[in-house]
Amino acid sequence: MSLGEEERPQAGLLESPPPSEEPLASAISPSDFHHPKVSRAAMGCNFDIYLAGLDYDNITGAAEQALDEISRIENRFSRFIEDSDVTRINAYASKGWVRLEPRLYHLIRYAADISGKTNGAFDITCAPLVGLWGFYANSGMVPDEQAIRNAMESVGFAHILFDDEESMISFDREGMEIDLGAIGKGYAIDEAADTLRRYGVEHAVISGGDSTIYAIGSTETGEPWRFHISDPYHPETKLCTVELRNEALSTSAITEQFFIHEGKRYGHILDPRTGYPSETDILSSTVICASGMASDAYSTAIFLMGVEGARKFCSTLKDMRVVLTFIENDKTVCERLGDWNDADFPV
Amino acid sequence: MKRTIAFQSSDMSRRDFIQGAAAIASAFGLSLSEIAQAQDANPAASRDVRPVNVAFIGVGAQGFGVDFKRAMNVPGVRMVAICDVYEPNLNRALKDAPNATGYKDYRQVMDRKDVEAVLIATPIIWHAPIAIAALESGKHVFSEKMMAYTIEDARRMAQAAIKNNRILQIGHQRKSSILYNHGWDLIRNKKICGVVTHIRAQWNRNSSWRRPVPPDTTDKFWNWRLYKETSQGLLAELGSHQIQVVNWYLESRPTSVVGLGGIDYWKDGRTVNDNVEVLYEYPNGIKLNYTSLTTNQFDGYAEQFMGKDGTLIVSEGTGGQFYREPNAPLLDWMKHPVGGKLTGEHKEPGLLLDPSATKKLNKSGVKVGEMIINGDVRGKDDYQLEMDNFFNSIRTGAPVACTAMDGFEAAVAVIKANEAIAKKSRVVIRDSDYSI
Repeated sequence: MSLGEEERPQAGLLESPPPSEEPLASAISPSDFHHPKVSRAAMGCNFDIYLAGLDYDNITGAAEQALDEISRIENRFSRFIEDSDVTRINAYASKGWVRLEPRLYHLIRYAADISGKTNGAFDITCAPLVGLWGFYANSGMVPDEQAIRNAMESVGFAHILFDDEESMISFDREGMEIDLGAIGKGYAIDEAADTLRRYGVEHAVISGGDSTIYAIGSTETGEPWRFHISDPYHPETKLCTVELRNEALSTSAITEQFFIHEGKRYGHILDPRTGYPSETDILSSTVICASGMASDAYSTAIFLMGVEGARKFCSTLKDMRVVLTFIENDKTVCERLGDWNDADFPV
Repeated sequence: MKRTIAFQSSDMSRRDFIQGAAAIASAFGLSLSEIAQAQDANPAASRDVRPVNVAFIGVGAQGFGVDFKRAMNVPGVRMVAICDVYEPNLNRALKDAPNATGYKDYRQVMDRKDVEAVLIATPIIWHAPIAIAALESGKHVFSEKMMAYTIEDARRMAQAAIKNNRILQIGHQRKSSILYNHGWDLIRNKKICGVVTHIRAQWNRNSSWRRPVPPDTTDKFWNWRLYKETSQGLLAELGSHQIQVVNWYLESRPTSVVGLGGIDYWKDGRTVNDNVEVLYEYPNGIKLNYTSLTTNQFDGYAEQFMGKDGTLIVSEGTGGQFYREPNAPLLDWMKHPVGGKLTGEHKEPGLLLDPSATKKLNKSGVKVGEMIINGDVRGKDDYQLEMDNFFNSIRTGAPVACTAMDGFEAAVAVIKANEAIAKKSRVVIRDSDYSI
């Protein structure tokens, strides 16, 4: 089902923030939303926590605890921090077995599981490719084909070996590295949401760079939290609105980082199956489900599948709602896939 | 699988214990490569390590967020028991260790014959009773800092370790830090500061130190650090780490202390000071000026060693810096600093052992200040190295980085400083105060 361009959001709905350098397909920052916001830079973006319904001291205190948790996760998951767990994995897992604390072990296991379900469209082992294409250095370069073929030898979730009993992983070949960038933000938001709940927070929104969001409970008035999905090229144009309660939402979009070489545009979302930047016909894929790590990972995978691939993949999805935006008849449209109830989609 | 356990000598006397601690301190600064090699030098063998059954007591912010995870990163650690009086924390940890049994009363853990090591990250008033019970039941103990709420409690912990010939490691993780061991080498062996005469150290924050309270518990329980009956305040929770570093670098301990403190800004019902300023005297007239603020974060946290030939600043947050005094010797390595050059306020020559430079110490073969690291500890922070050290000691009998004596001497210095603040007078710290 394709949906045409939507009218401007109704009064009272959340509006998008001003366009940034990287236009986002979903966003929050309501003009009539006056609750406290606590923010911190982490994982290469800004994390914002909007809270409602508690006294100010507890609100900000709980939010600071949640942001502390995000910072702790960044310190353990970043491949750029020399004493992080991911650095340890990348340094040692090609040489033998590396013991991991349970949450990190299960996260990597879960990531590999998603890789299997998406036939490799999502893959945390594509770090060698990301480096080869210059995206870690924020430079962007087109490697020669042989270099890509060589890097592909070190890519593939199937080369991660797991020992469930000992919580250990290893790589079955040299040169492999993992990068949790496509799932870590969602995981961090899940943990932050757990932290807020532990402090009794019942109404809150956590946003990681406006590309992954978790909505705790409802608004103070009992309404679901509402978010717009925008035209990625014209973020001021809202295509549809979705509603969340105790759910996460993630978006992957064509308008994220890119570089242009010899007139061709190369996006930073690499396809681990080909070794090249995605040439998908999807402009943005938005996934809504119970956890941030799932929405984060699946939004990337579905984005890479293209419209037809996404339709086929999502036809059997349970407990997950998907919204694609793409061009149809010279117009940006959005289409919902997956497990929807009409009430969830007040277009 | 071959099981080999090498413990400390069973006839180790109290005197040996104390001297052993000093000897370990002396040796440790020289053996950075050994630290590195003690880690995952041979990851292929990590599946074959001897399992160690562990009980974890106190899975709150520090316990679960830091120590539990680092312990579970260590090959062979089997978490078989978890204890916490706060049920949500207990259940959270049990989710990550499904084979562990949950307890609310630590005494039940002591009855477990299969538990070889106990990790303690409770509020400070519980360190001693739990640690002593564990040591008496033949278990090795890692206890978070500060070692204990009273000097007598800390002393009894050390005595229990000696009596039962068990390992007791205190959680001053800087003792396991590559950076801090490097700083030790620069001060003690390279003598880059010459004769050290003064030390400044501070841990400054701009926050109330008060945590939000979950709806199912009480402020006194959750914010135990803020109340005298459960906390020795800023000096214990923050300062003990840094005082331990000064003791270590000077290979000494304070002989007297004066101090001031007060509840001067956060008048929110707390009973521990929200700011402290203390001045310790060490042998040979060396002074340590220590400050901890909660109203201004300038300078963050660091220890600054000032000697006739230069000033070395070490910090977990910002790494290391060295400022050479104008007429001090210019060593070859100072001409080619890894981290770049800087000059001080008065244009004194400076050498930046900045975070990027000092972190490179974690890479094999990196040379900073004539120090070459031959091992490889990438991916391990100070907490991880500390936990690796503890379990390595259990398996091999190798010394722990932060001994009971290290923790005890830091605790004595802190508690005496709080006494000086309360009495508003100089307190002498005698050798007998440091005896166990």
